Amino acid sequence: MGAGPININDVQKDILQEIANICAGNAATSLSQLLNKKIEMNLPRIHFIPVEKVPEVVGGADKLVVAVVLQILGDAPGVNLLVFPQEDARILAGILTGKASINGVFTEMDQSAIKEAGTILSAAYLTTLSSFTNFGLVPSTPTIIIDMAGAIIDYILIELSAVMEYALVIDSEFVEAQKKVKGHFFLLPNAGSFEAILKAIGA
Amino acid sequence: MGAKVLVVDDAVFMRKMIGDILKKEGYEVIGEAENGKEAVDKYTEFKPDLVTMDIVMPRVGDIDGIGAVKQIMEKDSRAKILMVSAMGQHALVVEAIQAGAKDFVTKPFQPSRVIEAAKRVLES
Repeated sequence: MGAGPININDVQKDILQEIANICAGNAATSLSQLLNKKIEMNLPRIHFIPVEKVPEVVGGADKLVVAVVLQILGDAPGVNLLVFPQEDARILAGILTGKASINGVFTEMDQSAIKEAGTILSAAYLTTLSSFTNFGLVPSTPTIIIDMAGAIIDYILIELSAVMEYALVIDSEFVEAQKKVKGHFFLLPNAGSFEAILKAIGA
Repeated sequence: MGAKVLVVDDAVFMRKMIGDILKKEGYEVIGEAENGKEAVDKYTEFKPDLVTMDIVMPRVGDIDGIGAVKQIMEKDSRAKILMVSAMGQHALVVEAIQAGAKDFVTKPFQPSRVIEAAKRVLES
């Protein structure tokens, strides 16, 4: 059985949008420091969806993507998921390693670079959310998955035994010179964590 | 030749990045380790002047980043360890400093921050 519509009012959505803007700004700064290059960011769009709809956001359950998954431990446990379409992941890896991918294969160095970028971006998002909520939010060590979008959600729900109904999606686009990298940031709070976050931000 | 450094990080990308920063500054990267257990083994083998240690690594042989700091300090109380953390890991940084690490840098970092911290730790 799928989740029903999420109960969130306009004020709550406005506050979360503002937090998302600051999160993405901090994430762009972090990425810029990692790369030692100027990174610009388009204003992110946020929306809430039932967890089972996550694959649709990234192009469908069969879409090949690269995901960095981190469990969130602490006051509002859940899962943090960063998903890049494969082409965008290749561009990101190329920017990070300074080398173009060979035959479209993700080398060990490519995967490590994407994982590190994912960790740093997640830390930027979680630190911002932490400062607004006063919650301690600690990311686990990251896992990188190169697979179909549907399999990644299976991994989260089955392998991590996560119990969640909704995902907060922050669609971000980072631009380095003429190269654009589109990524989807998902915050998947465990049952109860989402309500705790809303309460903590005073909405 | 500059000071000998052991670079410890589970991410090959980060090991290369830190290694490149240090090499450009004249340091000699004498070894790399991808987990805490390997770090302790290589510290014993190479006796480096400085260790850069990722604070969050998968637990191998029941040793994580903090565990590696403790074991290295037990072997050599004069070991000079620079922790590499990410944002939001203040509690772990405090634990590492209490265990004997001398300083820390937070990812993402500018190369100059790593060089400054390495110099501070070596002079400590």
